[in-house]
Order: sequence, then structure tokens, then C-alpha cells
Amino acid sequence: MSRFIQLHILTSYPASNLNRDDLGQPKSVIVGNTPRLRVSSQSLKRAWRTSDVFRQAFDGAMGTRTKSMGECVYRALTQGATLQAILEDSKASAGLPTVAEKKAEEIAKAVAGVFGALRKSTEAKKEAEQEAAQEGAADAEKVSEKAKMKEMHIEQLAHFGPAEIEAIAKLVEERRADGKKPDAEELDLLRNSPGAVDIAMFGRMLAASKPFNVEAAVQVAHAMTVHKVVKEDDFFTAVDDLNRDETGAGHMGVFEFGAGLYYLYVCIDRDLLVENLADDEDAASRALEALVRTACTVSPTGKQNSFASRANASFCLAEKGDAQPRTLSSAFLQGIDKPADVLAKAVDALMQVRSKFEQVYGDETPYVFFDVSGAESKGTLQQVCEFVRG
Amino acid sequence: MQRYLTFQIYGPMQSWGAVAVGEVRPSLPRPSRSGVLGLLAGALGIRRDEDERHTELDRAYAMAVQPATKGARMADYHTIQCGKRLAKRTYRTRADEVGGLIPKNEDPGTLLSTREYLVDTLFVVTIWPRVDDPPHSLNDLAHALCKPVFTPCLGRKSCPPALPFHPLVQEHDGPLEALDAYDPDGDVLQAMDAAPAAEVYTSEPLDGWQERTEVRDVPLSRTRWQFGLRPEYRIAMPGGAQDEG
Repeated sequence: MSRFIQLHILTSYPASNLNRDDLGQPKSVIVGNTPRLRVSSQSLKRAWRTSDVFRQAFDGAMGTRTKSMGECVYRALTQGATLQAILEDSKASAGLPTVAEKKAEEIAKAVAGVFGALRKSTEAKKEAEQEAAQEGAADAEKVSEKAKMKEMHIEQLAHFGPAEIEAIAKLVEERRADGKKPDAEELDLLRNSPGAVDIAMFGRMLAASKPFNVEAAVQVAHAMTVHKVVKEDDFFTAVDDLNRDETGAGHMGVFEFGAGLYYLYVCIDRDLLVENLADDEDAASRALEALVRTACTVSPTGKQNSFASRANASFCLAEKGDAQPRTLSSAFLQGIDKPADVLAKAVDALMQVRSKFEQVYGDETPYVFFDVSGAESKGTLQQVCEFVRG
Repeated sequence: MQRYLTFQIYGPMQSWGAVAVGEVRPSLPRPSRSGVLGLLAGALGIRRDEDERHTELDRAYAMAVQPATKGARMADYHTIQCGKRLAKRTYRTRADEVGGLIPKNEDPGTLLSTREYLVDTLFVVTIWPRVDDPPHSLNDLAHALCKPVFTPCLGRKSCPPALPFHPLVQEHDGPLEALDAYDPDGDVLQAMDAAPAAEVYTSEPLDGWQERTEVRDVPLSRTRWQFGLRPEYRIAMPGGAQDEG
């Protein structure tokens, strides 16, 4: 069994400012005496852990994004229909036993509260009044009904994976029978898989409660460009549309940005991941696949609205073995200096250092990769995922 | 003649934690003894909470370290969003903590810190037993470095090594000779500002030491993250360029 899975990923970002320092400039680092752009591991991990891609890859299917799961639970309980039926048609009714409104509301709020902060009742009421006024149906009963439903909503959209929807549906049927409010343990179960995987991979450090600390099974290095990059200034002006008297800009400013090909290294301790997941091998395999997919397709969110610099990986090499893990960053110590074919040269340099390490230090590890650098692409993300899972 | 375990430490970024009480999380200018012992402990599969085994490592081995490049320091501005700890709120995922479970009008709880890293630095480290009954032979330690149990890192989890440690166990007259005899990776040295061997820092007073300082890097508890003071001795190598570590 191979303990370590190492990922070497090259991603090309156009003009961007993905991860900023205290001056708002892109973060940088000196490598081999030359300045490079950098994205911190924390920034990358945050983008991955909060992304839907991560959860979808783990669930293996698309989920649902909604604020109104609480309302659906309430309707399922009071209208006598299954949760699935309500998700398809909110007015569904299937003649199943019903639960009293008050109790149903409590259950719905408890479930919704696990996935997001519940709406404040004052806000819910205000919004309900506005909506009713727009619809021209402002009778008091309708407004209070609307407000009640909105109080079961959460403030932001939450992503519900198929496994979670199934768990909620199961809980709904149990509560239909006894009408009790779910307890903490049952609520924990609703989030068990994605929550556990997130923590199992990236760890948890709570100064307040040491017993709950989890040692991260995934090591993520800071990503850095494979070549020298000097930050560039963008001087910009904004026009004041209502200013017709004076010439000139309504606002001026400067922000810095840079572009480059970034090398990212990730090392996963598979044994520790399995241990963190209570020996669930299947969950570990799915987690690994989710991580590879996410690391290859999710970009840090910094300044995305200004630059739209989202990018997929151009190259990903995965290695599996027991030998001492190491990044291949020394391939780029000299810096790839020709603007043309940077990707192809970076791939060459990476593979060369890899085989040099193999020769000199004798750490042989099986590997697969995908590569879009040449005229014809080689390998696929799916193949890398399968290799990593296996 | 005594046996020494000598190996190289290089990564594009390293951070060997010094005393950090406030917003700035500084790095020592070279691998700390507690950091290297932690690296060995992780390689051997010793967990953070096994205080006794950590103490045993600390008792058993002496260390000397030699910077092989000039290197530089880098400050990393760092923000963390950390949701309020409320009894009625459980964060089951990171996504909960940075979004979903935080009401819109609540303070997101951002903490600031500046983390310091060493860049472009390669070190050579040598280890030797300072007691008669060390818990692991040098060969076992070397083997652990080649096939570690836990993922090795250079002071911080986000700082992976970028070269195999390439440990060698050999007999030498002393630690300085052991360091001198070791050839770190030539390609890496060539690409960086390699300084000729200038100085060595040891945990034991060796012949020719010029300066004695104190470093707080004796592991007391890895779960409570407490460290004690120890002396450190600086030895200038003949002919080497003198440089502030």
C-alpha cells in the first residue's frame, strides 16, 4: 500500500490578483534569487473547501442549491408528502400522516439551521410584506403565512448534496412518526460525510478543545510561478456619468496584477486520511478524487470579478509511493525564461527533476499525468483520479 | 571517531518557529533543534501527544546545523476568518465557518498575522547521540527519513521539502568534519546564492565556539506547544564568509 500521494499541478493564470498582501498587491516570493508570484496554501485551501466542486465531486452527483430546504421539510410534514415529492412540487400531497404546524416548524428550523444561519423574523416579515404588496395580495393572513415560511429559510444559498437530501428525507419520515425535534446527534448525522471529509483532509485546530483536534492528512504548499514575474501596475480611471461640466475622470486609481504559470504541490498521507475517516476506505477514495478534481479546477476567488482569471490545470502529475515525499519545485529554480512554450518547458523541467531524483536518490514512485502542453493532449483528469483512488 | 547522521534540508519556503506571542509569527534563521527533532519524530511515526517519546529524542541526540546558502526572509501577510464560538452553533465544515452559518450582519471574525519564512535556503544538519542508550540507532533514523511515517515538513505544514533528505551515516572525527564531508545537491546550490560554509550552530559546546546564545526550542509538550531554553554555540568556519545567520 502506498502511503503518500503527491500531486504536481501546473496552472496558467492570465492577468490576475488571486491572493493579496497588506498593500493589495499580489503575493510574491523569491525563488532562485528571482521574484515570483505566489498564492498561499491557505488561500487555495479556502477556495477548495468552500467550493461546490469539492462537494459535488465527493457526492458523485449534482446537488441542489437552495435557501428554502426548511420550508420543504415543513411542507413535507404538514402536507403529508415525502420530501422528494415536495422538492419536485411544493404543493404536493400524498395522504401521509401529518404533523402539527407548530411542531413541524420547530423540526424544519432545526434542520435548516444546520446548513446556514436562519432568517431573522423581522427581516422575513418585511420581505413577505413587500412581496405581497407587489403581488397585489396584501391580506394579513397571506402575509403572515409567507413570513412564517421565510423564517424557515436560511440567509444564504446552501448546497445540498444527494446524500444530505436523502438523510433529511429519512429524518422527515422518522419525525412524521413521533413529531419530536431532532437532537444534536441526529443533526450532526445530516452533515456527516462532507463535514468529516473536509476536516479529515485539512485538519482542525481548536485551542479551546484539544480532544477534537484532527491532524491534517493533506499538505498543500504555496503555489508559485515557474518563471520570474514583475508585478505590473494598472492605472485606471472611472467616469462620473452625471458630471457634464468638468473634464477629467471621476475617480483614478492603481492596482497591481500579474500573470504566470503556477506550480502547485500537494501531498496526501493516505493512511492518515483513512484513519481520520474512521477507517472508511471508500470515503477516503472518494475524498481523494474530490481533492484532485478540485485542485485542478477551482481557482482562488481574489479579484475574480475584475479579472475573471479562473483557470483549469494544464498539467497534473500524480505519484504514489512510500518514499519520502518532496516537491519538484527545484525544477524552476533557474526560472523558465522564454515566453514561448513556457508550459511545455515547465513540464519538461518537472519530469527531468523527477527522473534525476529517481536516479540520484533512488526514490522510485509510480506515476500518471495529464498534459495539454503539446499539439495533442496526453492523459485525462479522469485517469489521474482513477490512479489516485486505486 | 564517532558515527554521525548527516542530511540536507531544502525547500523553497521554510519556517522554524521562534517565540511567537502576538501578530508576528517569526522564523529562526535556521532549523531549530525542536524542529529537526519533530521532523525525525514524524518520520518515525511518533504522534504529537506522545510527550515521553519526544522527551526521549530530546535527551538522546545532539545536533549541529550549517547554512549552505545565504537565503533571504519573507513576510507573509495572513488573514484568517474564524467564526464566533457559540454554544448553539457547530461548524461542521470550513464552508460553514466562512459563510453559511455566519449571519449577514455578524462580524466575520478576521484575525491578522504576519508569518515569516526563509526562502532560498539549504541547510546541512548532523545528528549524533549524546547518551549511551539512544532510543533509535542512527541507521533507523536514516531509514525513517527515507521512508517516513508522517508527511515531512520544514517547520510548517505548508513547507514541504524540495529535495530528498539523503541521509548518510558515517564515522567522523567530529560534527564539523561530518558537515564538511557532506555534499548537498549541486543543482540547487548552483541556482542559489551559495555562501561558502561560514558558520555552524550546535547544541553542544565544541572546540572553537565563539558565541553562546540561548534558544527556546527544547520540546516540553507538543500538545500544549511549550518549549524550554537551551544554549546554542556558534562556530565560525575557517575561510568562510562571515555572515549574520
